[in-house]
Amino acid sequence: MTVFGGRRPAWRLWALAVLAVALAAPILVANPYTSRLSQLLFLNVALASAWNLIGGFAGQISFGNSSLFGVGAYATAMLWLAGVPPLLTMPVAAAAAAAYGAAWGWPCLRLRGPYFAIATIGVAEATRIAVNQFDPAGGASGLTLPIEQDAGGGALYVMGAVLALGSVLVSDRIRRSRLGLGLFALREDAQAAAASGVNVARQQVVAFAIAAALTGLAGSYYAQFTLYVVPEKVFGFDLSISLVLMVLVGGIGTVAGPILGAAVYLILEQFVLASLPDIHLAMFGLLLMGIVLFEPGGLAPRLAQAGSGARSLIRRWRRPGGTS
Amino acid sequence: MADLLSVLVSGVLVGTVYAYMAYGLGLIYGVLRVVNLAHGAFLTLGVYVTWWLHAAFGLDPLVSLLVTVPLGFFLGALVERSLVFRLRDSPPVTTLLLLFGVWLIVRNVLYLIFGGADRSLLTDYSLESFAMGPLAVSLPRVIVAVFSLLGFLVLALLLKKAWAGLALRAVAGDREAASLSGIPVNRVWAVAFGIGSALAMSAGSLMSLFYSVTPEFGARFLLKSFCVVVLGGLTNMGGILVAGVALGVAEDLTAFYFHTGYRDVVSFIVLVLALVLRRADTG
Amino acid sequence: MTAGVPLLEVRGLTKSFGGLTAVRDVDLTLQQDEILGLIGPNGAGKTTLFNLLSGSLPRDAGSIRLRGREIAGSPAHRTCQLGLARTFQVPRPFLSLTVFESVLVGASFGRRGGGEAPWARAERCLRLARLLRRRDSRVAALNLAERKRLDLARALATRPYALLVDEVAAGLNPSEVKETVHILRRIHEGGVGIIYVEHVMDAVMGVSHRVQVIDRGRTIAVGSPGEVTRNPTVIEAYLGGSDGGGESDG
Repeated sequence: MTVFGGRRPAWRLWALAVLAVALAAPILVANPYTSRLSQLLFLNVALASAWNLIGGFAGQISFGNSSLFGVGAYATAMLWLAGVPPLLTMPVAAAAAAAYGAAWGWPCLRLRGPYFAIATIGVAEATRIAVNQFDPAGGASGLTLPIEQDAGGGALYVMGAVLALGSVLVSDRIRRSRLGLGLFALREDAQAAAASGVNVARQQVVAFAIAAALTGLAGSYYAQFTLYVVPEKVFGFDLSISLVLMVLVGGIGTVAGPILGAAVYLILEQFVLASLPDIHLAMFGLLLMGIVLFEPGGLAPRLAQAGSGARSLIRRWRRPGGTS
Repeated sequence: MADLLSVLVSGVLVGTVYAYMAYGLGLIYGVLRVVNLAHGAFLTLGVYVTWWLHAAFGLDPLVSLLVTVPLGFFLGALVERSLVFRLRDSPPVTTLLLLFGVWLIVRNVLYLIFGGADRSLLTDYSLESFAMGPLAVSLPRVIVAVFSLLGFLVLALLLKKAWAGLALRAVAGDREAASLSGIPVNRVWAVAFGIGSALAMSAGSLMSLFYSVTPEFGARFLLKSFCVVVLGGLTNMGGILVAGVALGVAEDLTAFYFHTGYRDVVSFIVLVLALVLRRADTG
Repeated sequence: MTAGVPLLEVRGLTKSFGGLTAVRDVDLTLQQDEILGLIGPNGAGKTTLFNLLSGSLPRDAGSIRLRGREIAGSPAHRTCQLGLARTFQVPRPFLSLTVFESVLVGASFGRRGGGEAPWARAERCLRLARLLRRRDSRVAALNLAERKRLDLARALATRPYALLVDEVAAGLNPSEVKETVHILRRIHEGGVGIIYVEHVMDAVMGVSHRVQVIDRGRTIAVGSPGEVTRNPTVIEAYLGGSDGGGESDG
């Protein structure tokens, strides 16, 4: 991947993506099952892209994003129950998650590699246990939201599409920005980055706060379409693992990887795990081991390779006399 | 006052097991520079093997150490040879993810075999306690603490005296230099991973005496192990012992003064604080 | 800039690790427009000194003034932004980036100002380091000499007043050494003061205006290259190795 070629954003690609999402809407929203599938896909794309900002761009593997997701989901749920219209709770959810992320990211991001990963597990678990004990938020039994105020399939589709496309756009812009350059540099060598003037601590905290805001928005969205938040789910460790998996499967550190990974993960979850629910942990485990051992770059670079191979094949075929 | 004293005593007793349970993690990190997320798998396997031996054959958990120690060593060495070794030149986070995969699979297999229900193991002496001045001290806790201390001592002697100990410490210092001075680094790695896993599995045996047996057992105690190891200085045995006891006491005090529900939060907060404050060693 | 204030002025710099004092009460002055050679036997404390100056290591005592301003205690990124940049003894490239992107890191995050777009400065520094042809190569594909020049270009792109250069000639063949020294001269002509640590005597003696000799953490001699090579204390420190022969271990 050429991470910072100064190329202009691929506007045609973006237009195509928006068009595809818009055209698919009527078909997907008509059916409750496909409607839910599209909501989950949007959710996963946003979460995986956000995770990739810190896990992929800065190389800091986080098992703690569930704590940010949960804060977003609970912020929306609690405000909604207090009478605030759900849409208005979204900025609050984003801000709360960003604040929480910055608060624990600031000390933890001074750690690198495995130490950061372990610290994030500690934070996420401590948060989950604390919320479980916190009675004003419903304790372990969680909060149920008023179903009569459901935003409706169409509105949720648009909201999800904006969230997912927005997250990818943010990710793409950061990749091409000064912030992104600093993140890539500190991922490769924090000391050399600092010697080049990169404020390693600040770059990471800024990226993490952005990731946290997006994750909090995703949490808010989740609360609005499931209408039920419970600590074991929204603060659960499984959520954090699934994010790591999506990004690793798709291609860590790339913009397209999280999208691809989110889709592959959704397919696995819906079609394989639904029929074999007893072995979902083992499936995660095997997938994780398989990628780490055999395909550490994920699927996106592989696909890009295949794609450029196909393009050059087509070019050769088109060029007169190019075939032999 | 007597209440507080009994809380302290119980915290110290539990703390020695914590230290014993965590030491394997520190040993593996010290020699291989690998963060063993499969530690949770070995802890859980330890409690289940012990529970099953008791349920099926009436074997006392302390006798089942004769099974869990060698089994843990064998499985650990196997994991190192077949998986960890392949990633010896990759960034540390890759190995962490790999071993995390191992743990997920083991957890799932345990769910499939035993289901998710909490089980417990009751022996004749499980509920015994004896009087020590004004306090009633639980017998199994004392037994487990004594075994943990014994295990710790044996290991300290082993690491100090035996050839294996020499090689282990040499490799922990510098892999390349050790290799050049004729130490079989590959074998030492497998042995260290084996010992670390044997420690984890046997800790599971001991802990089955007073913790309930579930597939999530390892999840709960893996993080406590991290906490103890990081607080105690990663590979320093004395430090780990002190850290284990400190965590045990801190947890019991929290449960005593606040709410039992917050007991497990203590270790996570201590873990994060210890990591962040010790970053000079870890950067 | 007031005339007479040295570019870099170090007084009483000291650093111990446990019982070992790696740098002991070192004074050092780099004048405007000067290349100061810094030599000494292995383990003399030269790299530690660089780590202290660049803010990678906290000092125990001493002051570091850059253009009259106290910078001791600033973290590494701040030191760089204030105008004191460094290279590494073993180059530490950003492996997944391209050559251009690596230099762009320095150009984007270094000392502010200059009225030149970061990409333009990055290209200029690449040209000076003779790496423009490899602009879009992966850093991982560069050989040692190219990586050393890239490290120079990256440091130069941060717009330093003073540059700490650590063994940029070590491990290179004679023609590569010549090219690298030429680049150092060009950087100096561009108005950057340089402190140059080196074991390759031809390189350091040829390019330096003054040379400071360090042994066991303290200064044992300062003077012109000629004076220093005749100094008996220096000859003794090198155990007769003062013939200027290329002692070139990394």
